[in-house]
Amino acid sequence: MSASPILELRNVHKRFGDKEVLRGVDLTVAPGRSLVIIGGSGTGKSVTIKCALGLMTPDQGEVLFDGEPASSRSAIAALRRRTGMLFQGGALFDSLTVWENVAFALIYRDGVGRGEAKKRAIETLAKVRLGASAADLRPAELSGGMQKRVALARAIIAKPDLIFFDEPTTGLDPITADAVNNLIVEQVKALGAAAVSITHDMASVRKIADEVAMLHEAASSGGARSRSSTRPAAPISISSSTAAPKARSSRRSRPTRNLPQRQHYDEARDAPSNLCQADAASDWRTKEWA
Amino acid sequence: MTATPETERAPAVIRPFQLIGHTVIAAFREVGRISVFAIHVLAACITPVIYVREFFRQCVRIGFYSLPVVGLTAVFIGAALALNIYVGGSRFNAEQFVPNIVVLGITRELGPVLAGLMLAGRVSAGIAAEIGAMRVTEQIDALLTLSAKPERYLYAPRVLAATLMLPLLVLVADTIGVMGGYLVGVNSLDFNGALYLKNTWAFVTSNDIWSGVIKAAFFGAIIAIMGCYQGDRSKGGAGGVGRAATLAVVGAAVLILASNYILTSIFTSIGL
Repeated sequence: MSASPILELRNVHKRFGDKEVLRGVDLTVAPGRSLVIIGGSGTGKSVTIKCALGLMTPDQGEVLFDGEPASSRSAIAALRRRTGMLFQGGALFDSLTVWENVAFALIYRDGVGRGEAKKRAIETLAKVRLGASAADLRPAELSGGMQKRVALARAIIAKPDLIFFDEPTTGLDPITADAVNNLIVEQVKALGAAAVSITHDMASVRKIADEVAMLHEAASSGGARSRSSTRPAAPISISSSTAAPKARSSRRSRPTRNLPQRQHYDEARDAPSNLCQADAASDWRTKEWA
Repeated sequence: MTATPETERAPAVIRPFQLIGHTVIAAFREVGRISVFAIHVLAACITPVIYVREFFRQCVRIGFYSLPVVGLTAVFIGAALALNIYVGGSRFNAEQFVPNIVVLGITRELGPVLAGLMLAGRVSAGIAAEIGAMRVTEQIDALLTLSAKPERYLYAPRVLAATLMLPLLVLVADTIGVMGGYLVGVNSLDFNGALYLKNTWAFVTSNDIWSGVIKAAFFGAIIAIMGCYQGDRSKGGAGGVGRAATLAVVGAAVLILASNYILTSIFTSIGL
């Protein structure tokens, strides 16, 4: 782990009415590393990302981007200029064409001319295996997998230092999901960017994770804790084979599988050394998630 | 209104009053939210950056595509107004004033109010549904992550377009409304066509037209702001979007009628 993380969440709390969704989440993302956040539904994974992006304000705790607190408007604006985000449903703008979606930040933020922006959008679409013929279509004319790829192109076009992926393979068939995972790994590596992903898909975890963090619902309050801040009530974790960074590189060299590997529960004694940074010495029992 | 913990704890005799109090406070809170939202959006309308392409796109959607509904409304209202004034005027031998009262009623009152109400139904609901759908599908969050402020990229172009387009639509409605009265006057009430138009032109003043046009600008802003506000606050999927559209139309219609009275009072006091 680098001494200067690009993103750090310190003791982040978030409450909605009576429900405490986040209770002391600590996360650290080093430059160029890929962190995957896993956890059950409703444990606050998306809220964590939204707090990190300044889309929600934590009730307590702080978010640091490149060592600076991302609390003021200018700091959040600076953070957003250097980050990209792939939303769960794509969140493509219906009223714009595909290339206008991809080039949105170039046109409306960076002031790039429309001609140049279209050229760069088509180049970026090619990186996610979409042809120029798709550029003038509307998002509604694309399949779910194509929409995810357009959203990925939009997230990477401005060459961000940090990219967030919110369940990038949800709703996709296994083959398309695998293709999207491959594109994520390929493009994040090509950019040299850090990545924070949340997913339920363990195939995605295997494919894209350097490090894994888990949010677990605390039985006592219904809130959530990150693996790194508090030991969860139940002995649930990730097997080392899932999370090990070396495993990722070795898996990349394998031929592409047409079908996802069967998921199974598998208990093991050794916690992965890189399982969310802070608990390398933990004696957690580990369990591979289905 | 759902019972709060306070209402549950209160003695039974107090609860109705407490409920009224909570409702009034909630209403004031909503008015405050709308006011703050409107100030933010209006500030975005008059300060750079203005998204010109988006503004013109909204001008076409709000202005051009509303022409049929506004035109049809105006022609039928003008025709019905002429008939009603003829019937009323004949009771004291004042039938000859039909052209005068039609043009006065259309330009000062019915043109802007009816065009505003029709646009509240067509445009305010459309804006609320569109922005509500963007909210629930995270498109507005996506805008923020791409460093685009929704009040600048989404709301300001719509408010500017509605504020500028509704006065133009009202001028069209005035013309078509007068022609509706003319058609009935000439074909059903035996008016001389040339005399009808001459009386109309001689009677109407620039103040009558300006009065309606200024009202229309206010109504346009109200329509777009209510659509944007309700859309922005929508949540809960398709049901939430539908509720936002309904609230936008109802809110815009009530505010148009209320502000119409206030503006008319002001114009009367200053002699406009």
